[in-house]
Amino acid sequence: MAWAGRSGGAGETRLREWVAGRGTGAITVEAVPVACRLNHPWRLRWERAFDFRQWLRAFALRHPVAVVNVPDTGGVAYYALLAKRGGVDFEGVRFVVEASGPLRRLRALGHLAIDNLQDLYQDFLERRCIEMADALIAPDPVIPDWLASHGWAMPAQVAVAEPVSDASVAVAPAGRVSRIVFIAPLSMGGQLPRVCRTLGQDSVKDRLRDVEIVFWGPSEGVRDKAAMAHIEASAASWPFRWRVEGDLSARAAERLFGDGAGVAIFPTGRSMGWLPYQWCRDSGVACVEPVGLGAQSRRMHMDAADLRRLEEIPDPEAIGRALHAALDGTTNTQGTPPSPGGGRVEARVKLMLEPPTPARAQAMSTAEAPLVSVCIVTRNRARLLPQALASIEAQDYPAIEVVLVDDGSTMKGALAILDDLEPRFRQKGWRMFRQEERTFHAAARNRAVREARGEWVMLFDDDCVSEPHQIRTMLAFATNIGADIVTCPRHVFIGDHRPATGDRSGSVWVPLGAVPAAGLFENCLGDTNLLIRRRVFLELEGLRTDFGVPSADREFLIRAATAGL
Amino acid sequence: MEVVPEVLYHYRITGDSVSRGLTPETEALRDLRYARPFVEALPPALADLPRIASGWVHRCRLLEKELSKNKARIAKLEARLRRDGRKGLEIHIRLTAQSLRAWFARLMTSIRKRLPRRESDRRH
Repeated sequence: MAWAGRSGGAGETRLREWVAGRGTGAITVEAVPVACRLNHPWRLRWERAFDFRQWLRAFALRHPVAVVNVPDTGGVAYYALLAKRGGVDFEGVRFVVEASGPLRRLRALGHLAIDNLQDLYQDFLERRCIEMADALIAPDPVIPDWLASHGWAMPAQVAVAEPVSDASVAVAPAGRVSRIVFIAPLSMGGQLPRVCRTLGQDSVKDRLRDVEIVFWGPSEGVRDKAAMAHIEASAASWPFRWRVEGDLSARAAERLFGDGAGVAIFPTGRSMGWLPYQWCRDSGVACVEPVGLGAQSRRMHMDAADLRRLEEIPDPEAIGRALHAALDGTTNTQGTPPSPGGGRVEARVKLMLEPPTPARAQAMSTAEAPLVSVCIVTRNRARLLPQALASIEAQDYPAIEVVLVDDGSTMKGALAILDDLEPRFRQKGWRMFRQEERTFHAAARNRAVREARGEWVMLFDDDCVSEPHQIRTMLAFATNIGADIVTCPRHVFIGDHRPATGDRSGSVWVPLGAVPAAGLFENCLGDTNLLIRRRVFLELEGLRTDFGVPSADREFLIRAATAGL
Repeated sequence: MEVVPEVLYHYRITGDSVSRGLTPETEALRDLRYARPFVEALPPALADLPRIASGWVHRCRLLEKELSKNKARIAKLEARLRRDGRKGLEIHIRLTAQSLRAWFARLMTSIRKRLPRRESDRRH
């Protein structure tokens, strides 16, 4: 079982204790290394998800893995899940995604929009993770309800189970409270104005004279300025000390809570997600449970309509009540006590160990292998073209043809190489088209695809080098996952040498996938070296042929993604 | 469209790659190219939106570049201030004031040249 929750937290400890208590030795819990883990709940680059997939593969080669338990936040399991669904890896592994409230929902609850590329990527990763998971476990029914009502594709199994990490509802402060920390986004879209108003009430002000108020939350860039101005304007009437803490690191947490005199309040409730709240409880940080602070209750007996109302219409008195509760050192718990920790772990593990949804992995026999046409455009690449062709020749897939279009080479060396290649091409049944006039890459590639005879075409650059299993892997993946276009990560290198198989000495660039809106600003979709059904390429009318303007491939992929492919 | 989560080929960076050595004109055309699929997918009334978004992002990137340049400049000035102390700053202010005065004088001269001459000047 691979555990990607908080390292060394109560959740992991409790899970380990439970497993040890069983005494069977049949289950071991392995924490994911920090490099692949979510550092904090607000940001994650998609490369981290690729690192996680690589780590998991290496780990699974050494130890049998039955269950992978990951949070939805950040979509860390995206590439691992793609590998499973595409039949590349992790056959028989069950992926259980924990819903802590994906970014899109958290943003909506904080009255904020997805308004930057990082959030767009994170939203995509989380959406796909939930869609491809074997099971989604939520701490509260309101989360899957929200996802379903907003059109998210859900996995076959959706379950509600309390988190394993904590038995207490809220942690009481150890001694006198001298610091109250509001954990929330520092933006005007959230609860900040309401917090400021509450802090200005006479009944609250009097009690806070000897207390420091800290606003601790993720930066929202330019919008911070409005929030800061609002705090400063409100603070004119505050008799207490206050400050804003934008540093979200563990060091900042130590400064805020290390002396035991700080209490956390979540003015936006769990719309900040479970992770900060869970982090408080795991770390023994005193916190006030965010019931009625504009978040949903954790109680299961409330019906969905009540929960939704609580989420969307925050109780204006609740922040004041939370402040008094924090100063009194009491918790504002309501309802039934949570079930004992062991029972929750047992229920959770039972859910995890159900059989996984089988991936559609199919082995392809030689007889049914569809023809793949490798379409290459070349121009004056005498030294590099033979390397590209040799790597295609070395493929372990049986049904390949190469369609080579020379886009008006002028250099003697290149022309001589093409002359030499012609008889070899004829012998193999491959085809070469030599154009006198240069038409530029896009037009030449379109010609290559038009001339191709394969059901699938692979566009390939004349200076790239293929791994021997590229075509087989891409085709099997496309068939298993049901995709018409397939891209893949690439190893980037410099020099004229031919890189050895498996060489990763340079950097690795990883495409994200079909996020068309992001394609306008950054290339996250892929590049020319892709596998596509020939029919689809022609239906999309191929690459646009603007002579002299590069990046026809990116435009093509944006078009494909906006067409819903 | 999906991504095989597997490194399957080696991508060579060469000096004669198409994307290298682009002129600003070609770069601008390339950026317009990325906006085209969105423009085509939108009703005509909204067709300018992707271009505006693209333009804003381009402008933001330029401003970010300028900001980082200015940050470096400020850091240099701060270092110089620390090194030279108050006296250095005074000299710097004096020099800046001098150059500002000179610039202002040039500006006034050029404005005077462009203004129509007054009647009293003509008489003399």
